[in-house]
Amino acid sequence: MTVGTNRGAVRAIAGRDLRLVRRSRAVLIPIVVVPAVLLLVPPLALLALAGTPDALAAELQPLLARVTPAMAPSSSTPGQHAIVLLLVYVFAPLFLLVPIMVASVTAADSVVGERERGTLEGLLHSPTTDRELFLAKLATPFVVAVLVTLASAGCYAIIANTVLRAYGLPPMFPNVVWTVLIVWVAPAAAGVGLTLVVLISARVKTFQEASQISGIVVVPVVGLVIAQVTGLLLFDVALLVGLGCVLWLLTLLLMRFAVRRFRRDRLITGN
Amino acid sequence: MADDSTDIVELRSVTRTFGNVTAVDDLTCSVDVGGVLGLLGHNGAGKTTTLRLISGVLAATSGTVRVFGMDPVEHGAQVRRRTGVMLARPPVDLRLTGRENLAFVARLYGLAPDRAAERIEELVVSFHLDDRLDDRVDHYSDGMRQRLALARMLLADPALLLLDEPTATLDPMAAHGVRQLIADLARAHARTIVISTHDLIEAAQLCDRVAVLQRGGLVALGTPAELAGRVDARGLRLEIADADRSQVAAVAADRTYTVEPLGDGAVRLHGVGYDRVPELVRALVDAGVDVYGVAIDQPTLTDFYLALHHDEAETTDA
Repeated sequence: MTVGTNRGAVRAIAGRDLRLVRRSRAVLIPIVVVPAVLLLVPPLALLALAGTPDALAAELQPLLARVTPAMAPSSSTPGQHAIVLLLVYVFAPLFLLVPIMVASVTAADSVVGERERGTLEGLLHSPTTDRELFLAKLATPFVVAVLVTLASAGCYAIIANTVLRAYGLPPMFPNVVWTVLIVWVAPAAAGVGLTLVVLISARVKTFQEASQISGIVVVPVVGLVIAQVTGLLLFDVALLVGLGCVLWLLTLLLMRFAVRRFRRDRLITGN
Repeated sequence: MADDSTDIVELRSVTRTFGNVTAVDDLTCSVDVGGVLGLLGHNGAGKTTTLRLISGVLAATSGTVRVFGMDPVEHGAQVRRRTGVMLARPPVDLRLTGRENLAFVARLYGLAPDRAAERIEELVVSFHLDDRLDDRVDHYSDGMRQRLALARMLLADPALLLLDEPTATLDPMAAHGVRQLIADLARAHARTIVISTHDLIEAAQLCDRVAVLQRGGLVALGTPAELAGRVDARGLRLEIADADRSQVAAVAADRTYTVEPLGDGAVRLHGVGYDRVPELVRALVDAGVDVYGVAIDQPTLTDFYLALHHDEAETTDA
């Protein structure tokens, strides 16, 4: 017999999980502090260096010799080039760390944390199907990751525009590259992080363990940061659309695999 | 989907293995409408696994499980909608308030908002939670958490209750309150209940029938009285002076009764027929024994359980 999805139950679990996230310091601290450190400290540091753009350009000379940021005005100085390169390109991959980390931590609390708190078995005895539980457990981490990413992007845009003005440049945020990054790539990155956590959820015992294992997703993002810094791979719209497609495909593949493994008996026995 | 059986729960030759470990072994038992079945056994005997099989959280490796006439794995959500589960560790969210816990369960079970508010009001009054309902549950005592878990379980008015050691973590007063409530649910509200417990007195008080599990297998099934009746544990308890023990032993030996010293000036005589009690007391008095008290010990479910496991221990030792 085919039974439709009980959306009321999915919403009930997701809503409760969201409330639990809001009341957990262990979850809130990383999802506030990490984006703040990753995305706000670098542009604020540039603001502090506003009086010395040429010194910055000298530091970045090897990179600037190979790369001219497309968005920099034609009349801009090497120092201004350096600022545009950093704000628009080099810091961009850091944005992918935010949804991955937020989704992973929230999913770890939502699934593995639920077992640690002793409430998972109660939920498994509830009138839901395995698929409904799976959807409910994906919903909260995904929504939290997207909201935190959007909020971080908003803050970054304000600070970055301030930095650009301080260096005598016009505001450049929001722009097409960043919009594609935030709207298309970041949610896909969140999807990869949270499906990975859900996938390992039956086997790991603690919230910390799940968070640490899911940290492996960060490795390719670090590769992207290096690629940007060395000028090997500068983000543009086509590249980001392609990257988003790859991440969404990976999310879908992981999800198909995860949904088959996300079964009551596996969750309860840890096998 | 449904069959014509009046059994709410029916397990036929059910086996569940985890790798090489057999948690439930060829178990057959059933619970009729309004019945209370107790699951007894040591840790690892298969009690919790049996409850999980009934709820459809685990699938049987072989055999058939039917709950409300349905396969609880295939029709899990439908079975669980009519089933309330209570665990030894109350599955309540500590970061939520009592009210939020109840509202969450109401939404999970699809209760209409008006109906949910009405039920929450009824239950919090019944369980004396009304004055702390808006406090976070991490500030509740163990007893309050268990009462909240009971309220959560009953919110959707389930016909079948699965209780896994519901009093195991409670102090004696809280445990007594929970036992009274379970008895009330069974008798006054005709709920069908399957309860796993280590407390043999609790099982004798609450259960219509008791299934004793050993290493996943069913070793005894019957009413508490039937099971107790299988034990030759009837004895005659005598309160005497310690100095008179040798005379008691002599009188007992003449009649081929055996004497079990109990301490504190008491002995238990085994093998005494009910009709022989007056003659025995006269003989003891004639032998100079000061008899301060006489009581006939009836065998209990506890005697049966201990005898069963005593036999098992002896078999293992041999």
